[in-house]
Amino acid sequence: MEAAILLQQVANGLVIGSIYAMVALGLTLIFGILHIGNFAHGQLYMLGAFATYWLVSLWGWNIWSSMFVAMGLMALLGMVLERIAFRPVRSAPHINGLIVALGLFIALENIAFILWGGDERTLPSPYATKMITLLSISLTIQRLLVFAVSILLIFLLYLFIQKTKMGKAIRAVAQDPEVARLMGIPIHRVSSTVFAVSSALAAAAGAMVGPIFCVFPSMGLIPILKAFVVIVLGGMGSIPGAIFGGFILGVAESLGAGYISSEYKDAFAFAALILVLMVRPTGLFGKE
Amino acid sequence: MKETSRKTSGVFWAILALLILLPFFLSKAYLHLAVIIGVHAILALSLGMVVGFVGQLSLCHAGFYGIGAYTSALLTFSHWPFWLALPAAGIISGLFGLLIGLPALKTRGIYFAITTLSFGVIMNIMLNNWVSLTNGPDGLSGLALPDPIPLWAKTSISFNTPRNYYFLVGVFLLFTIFVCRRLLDSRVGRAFRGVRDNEVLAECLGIRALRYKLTAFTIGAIFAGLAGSLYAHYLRYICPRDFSFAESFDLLVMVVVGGAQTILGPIVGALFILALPKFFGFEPVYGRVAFGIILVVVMIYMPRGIVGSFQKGFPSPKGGAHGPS
Amino acid sequence: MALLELEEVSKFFGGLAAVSDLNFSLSDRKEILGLIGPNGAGKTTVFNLITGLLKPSRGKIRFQGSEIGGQKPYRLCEMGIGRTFQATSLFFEETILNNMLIARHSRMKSGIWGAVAIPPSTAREEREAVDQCLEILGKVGLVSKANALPHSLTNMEQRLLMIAMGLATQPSLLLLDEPSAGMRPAESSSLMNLVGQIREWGIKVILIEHDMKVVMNTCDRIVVLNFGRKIAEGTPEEIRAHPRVIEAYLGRRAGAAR
Repeated sequence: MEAAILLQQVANGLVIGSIYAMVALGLTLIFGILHIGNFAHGQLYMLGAFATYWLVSLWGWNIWSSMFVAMGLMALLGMVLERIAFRPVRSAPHINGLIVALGLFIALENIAFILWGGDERTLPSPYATKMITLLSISLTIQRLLVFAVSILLIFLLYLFIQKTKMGKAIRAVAQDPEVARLMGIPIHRVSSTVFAVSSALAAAAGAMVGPIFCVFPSMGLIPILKAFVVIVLGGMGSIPGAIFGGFILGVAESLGAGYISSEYKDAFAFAALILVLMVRPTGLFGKE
Repeated sequence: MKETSRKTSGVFWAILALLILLPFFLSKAYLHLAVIIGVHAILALSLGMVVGFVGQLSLCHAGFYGIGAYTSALLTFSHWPFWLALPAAGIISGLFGLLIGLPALKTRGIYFAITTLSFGVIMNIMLNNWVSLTNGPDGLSGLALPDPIPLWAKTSISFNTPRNYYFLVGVFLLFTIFVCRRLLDSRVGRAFRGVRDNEVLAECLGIRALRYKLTAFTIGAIFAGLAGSLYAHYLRYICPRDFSFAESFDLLVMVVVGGAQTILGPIVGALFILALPKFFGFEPVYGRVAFGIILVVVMIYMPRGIVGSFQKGFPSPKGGAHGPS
Repeated sequence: MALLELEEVSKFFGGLAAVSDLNFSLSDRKEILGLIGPNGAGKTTVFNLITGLLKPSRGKIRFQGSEIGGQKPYRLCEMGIGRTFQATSLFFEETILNNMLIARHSRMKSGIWGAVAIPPSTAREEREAVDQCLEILGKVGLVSKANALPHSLTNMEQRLLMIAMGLATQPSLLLLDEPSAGMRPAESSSLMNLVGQIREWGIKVILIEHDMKVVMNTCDRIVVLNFGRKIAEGTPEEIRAHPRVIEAYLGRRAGAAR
C-alpha cells in the first residue's frame, strides 16, 4: 500500500507542478528579456481566475471559452502594463523595475479586493466532481485536465519560441539586447509579445486552479513566490529550468506534505531556495 | 550628505519644539495616530538602514518587527519588566538579523530580494503555526503596559495614556535619528556608502563589504525589534497578520517614497503613508491601491523619493541611472 | 627578500589561458616596473591576480614572503597593495575629500561605538585622517578641489584622484593600470613626474601603459607580455631592441627585418 500512497502523492505533485511551471515560465520569459523580476505576474494569474469566474457565473459561458477569453484579456492587460509601467524603467537599475512590479502587485490585489471582496469563491466546473482511478491513483478529471492542458500549452509555447520568427527574435533579445537592436529586431514589439504570452499563460493557470483551490484576491502571492523559487533554482531566464523546476517543486512539496508535515509544506520551497542560494548565490544555473 | 548648516539646525529645533507641544492640543484619536506614525517612523528608518545604506531591497523587515513584538510580549508574560524586555527584543531581533543576513547578503539584487522574501514568508508561517509559542493566528492579547517610571516624591510617569506613550515613542525616535546621523557621518557610514556606490572599488580599498552589509542589516533588525516592542505594549494585542508581507511592503513604500538615502525621507514617508488615508477617511484598502500606484509613479519619475529628490535633484524620467539608493 | 614574486603563475578561463607560466619579481629597490604588451596580452589579468580579484589557476604569488594567491581584495589592501583601474573608478556621489577618506578606511580603526559616542580617540583619528588626505591631495595637485564632486573634474583630475586614493591606502606596492588613458601629451608627462615622485617616496610601482614613449622614459625595468606569456624582461634599452618585442607589436616581418 506504500507504493500506492507514494504514486498518489507524486500524481498530485505533478498536477500542482504544472501550475508552478506555467507561472514560472511566464516569469522567466519576462526576466529573460527585461531582467526584471515581475512580481505583478502573480496578479495576472489572479485576475485571469476572476475573469473566468465572472464569465462562467454571470454570463453562463462554458469553462473552456471563458478561460480562452480570460487569457486574451490578460494578454491585453499584460501589454498595457508593459507599456506604461515597465518600459519606462527598462534602462534604469533593475531594483527600480522590481519596485515597480511590487507596486503593481499590491495595487492590483487591492483593486480586486475593493471590487470583489475577500471571500473565497469556487469556480464552478463540470470536471471538478468526477474522479478517475488508474493504477491506484485517484484524480478528479479537473486535476487531470490541469495537467494535460498545461503540458499542451507549454508544448505550444516551446514550438512558438523555437520555430517562429517572433520566437527567434525573443531568444535573440534574451541573449543580447544590444546586438538584437543593432540587427533591427523591434525590441518594443518583442517586449509586448512576451508580456502578452506570459500573461495568457498565467491566466490559464489561474482559470484551471479556480475550481480546485478557489478564487480570491490574495491567491496570487504564494504561487508567484514559488514561481520565483523555481526560476532562481532553475536558472533565471531559462525555459527548461522553469518547466522542470516547476514540476520538481510540485512533486517535492507534495511528498513533503505527505511525509513530513502538511502545515509547513509551503515553507519547504523557501527553505530549499535559501539553502541553494547559500551555496550558490546566483542560483543553480545562474551566470552572474 | 552633511546637513549641519545653521539654517537646518534652527529648523530642526523649531520642529522639535512644535512636536513637544503638539500632544497637548491633539484629540485622543490623533494622538493614537501619532503614536502609530512614530513607531512606523522608527521602523522605516530601520529599513532605510538596509535599503539606503546597503543599497539592497530587503523584503522581510516586518519579520524582525514581529520577532521584536513577540519576544517582548512573551518575556513580559514570563514576568520580565518591560524595561528589560524592550532591549531584549531589540537584541533578539538583531540576532535573527545576523542569522538571516549572513546567508542572504551573499546574494545580490533580485536574488537578495527573493531570499529575504523567503525568510519573511517562513517567519510568518512559523508565527502562524507554532501555536504553542505564539498562539497562532489568534495572536497574543492582554499585554502589559510599560512599567511606570518613578520620579521624585512618589509620582511617576505612567504609560496608560496615548500622550505619555507619544513621548516614549518620541524619545526612541530621536534616539534612532541620532544613531543614524552619527553612523552616517562616521568612518562606518563612509564604508556603507562606498560599498553601496561601488562595491568592487570599496573592497580594493580595504573595506570588507560583507561585514558592513551585515552590520547595516543587523542594526536595522535591532531597531525594528525595538519598534516591535513599543508597538506591542501600546496596542496590547499582536497577531501574525500585523507582521506579514503587506507590512514589509508598506515599510518599503515609506522608505522609497520618502527617499532611502536620507534620514528625513523615511520619516516623511511614514507620515505620508499613514496620515494621508486617515486625513481623507479612507479604508486601508484604498490606501494600498494608492500606495502601489504611487510607488510605480515615484520609481518612474522620482527614483530618489520626495526628500531625496529635493536634496539631490530630480532625474529625468528616461535618463534614470539612479535607483532608490 | 623580494617584495613581490610571481612563480609560474597561470590563469585559465575555460580553455583559454589568459596568463601562462608567468615569472617575475620586485625587490626592495626603488623601482618602477613597466608591464607592457599588445591588447589582450593579459596585463590587467595580472593586476587582478595580484589584487585578489582573480585566483591563480596555477603557480604562486608571494608578497613580502607570504602567499597571497586567492586572498580577498580587502586583505591585500590591508597588507599594502594598492591599485588603480583602467576605467575611471570613483565614488561619484561623494566629494573628493570623502573619496579620499573612504580610501583611508583601512588605516583607521573606529567602529560603531566610535561612530555613535565619538570619544576623543575617534575625533582625533578623524582629524588626522582629514589632514593626511588633504596632504596627499596637495601632492597630486587636487587640494583646491577637495569639496568638489568627481563629475566636475576633468579626465586628468579624475585619474589623479584615483592615484591619490591608491596612495591613501598607504601601500608599499602600487599598481597603476593605464593611468594616463585619455590624457594629452603634456598631461601624461606631468603624470609621469608624479609616478617618479611616488618611487622616490619608497613605494614600488608596477605600471601598465600603452604609450611607448612614456614607458621608455619612466620605467626602470620592463616586463613584456604577449598572449599571456612573458616574452622579454629588461631595461628600456634592451626592450627597445628586443626582436620578439618588436615582432609582437609590429608583426613577424618587422621583427625578422631586424
